[in-house]
Amino acid sequence: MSAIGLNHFLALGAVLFCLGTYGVLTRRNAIAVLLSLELMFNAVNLNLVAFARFMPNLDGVVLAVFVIAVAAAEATVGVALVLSIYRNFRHIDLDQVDTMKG
Amino acid sequence: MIYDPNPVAFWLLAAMVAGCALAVVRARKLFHAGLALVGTLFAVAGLYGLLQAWFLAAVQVLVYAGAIAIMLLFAIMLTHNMMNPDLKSLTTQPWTAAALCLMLLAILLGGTLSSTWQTAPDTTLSPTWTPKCGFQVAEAIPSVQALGFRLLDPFTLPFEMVSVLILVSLIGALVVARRNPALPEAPEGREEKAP
Repeated sequence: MSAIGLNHFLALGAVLFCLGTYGVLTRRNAIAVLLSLELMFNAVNLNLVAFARFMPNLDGVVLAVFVIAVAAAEATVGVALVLSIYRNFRHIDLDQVDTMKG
Repeated sequence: MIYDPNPVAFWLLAAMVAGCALAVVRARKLFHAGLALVGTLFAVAGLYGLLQAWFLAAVQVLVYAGAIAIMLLFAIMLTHNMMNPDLKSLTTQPWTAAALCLMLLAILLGGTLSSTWQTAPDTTLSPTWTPKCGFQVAEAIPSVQALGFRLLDPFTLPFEMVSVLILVSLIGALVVARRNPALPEAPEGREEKAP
């Protein structure tokens, strides 16, 4: 088995990011879309930490901490929006929330 | 020397990440997707540990798996009949999206794997950098101490901005999710939209 290098982590990050993109594109349920978004955040973070370790430079880890904080804020607002939509529509299927469609 | 992680640990964690992520996007029950997300987050925390980012591994478990994922699970349980296998309505256009994502994956993999990254041995980790307060940061690998100094010395402004952002998102979430007594609520029961 060959040694694990930076490229292995980057490839895993790419796979994770594409799985997240797939989820965002295919899921109808708003919460499922939020779950897939978290996958994409994690892919980016994985790349940042891998670069930080192999370059090596601490700034990547600092940036990953900021990404986690912003992801927490995003998830908070996202869940609040989902609950608000659910209260008004009684479902959270994104392709049926089209009241403002022209 | 260039950092050399344990291959067995890497492949185990990579398989767990990929498998759980696939379950997140393909699970037929939404609650199972949420549980698979927790598994993915734990595996990513393990990868952070493999990369010796100990603080980030702890933050991943505490904040992501402990708070964000549980909040999403709460949202699932509040809005969704938990074990409802909502097969038809959960995914749409799987083949188009799969083709697009495979193309994206090919582009990303081609780009990363054909590049030569300038990796460097551990001893070059900013040897001359010392924080303003005068403490010496001893270790070369990203230690918690070094990370803390880094957050407060060159990254002070982003650090403070993130705290403002979290406060704003907290207030915003309260405002958005609050029940508005002036507005009538939709009746119970799933409302089907006329085609």
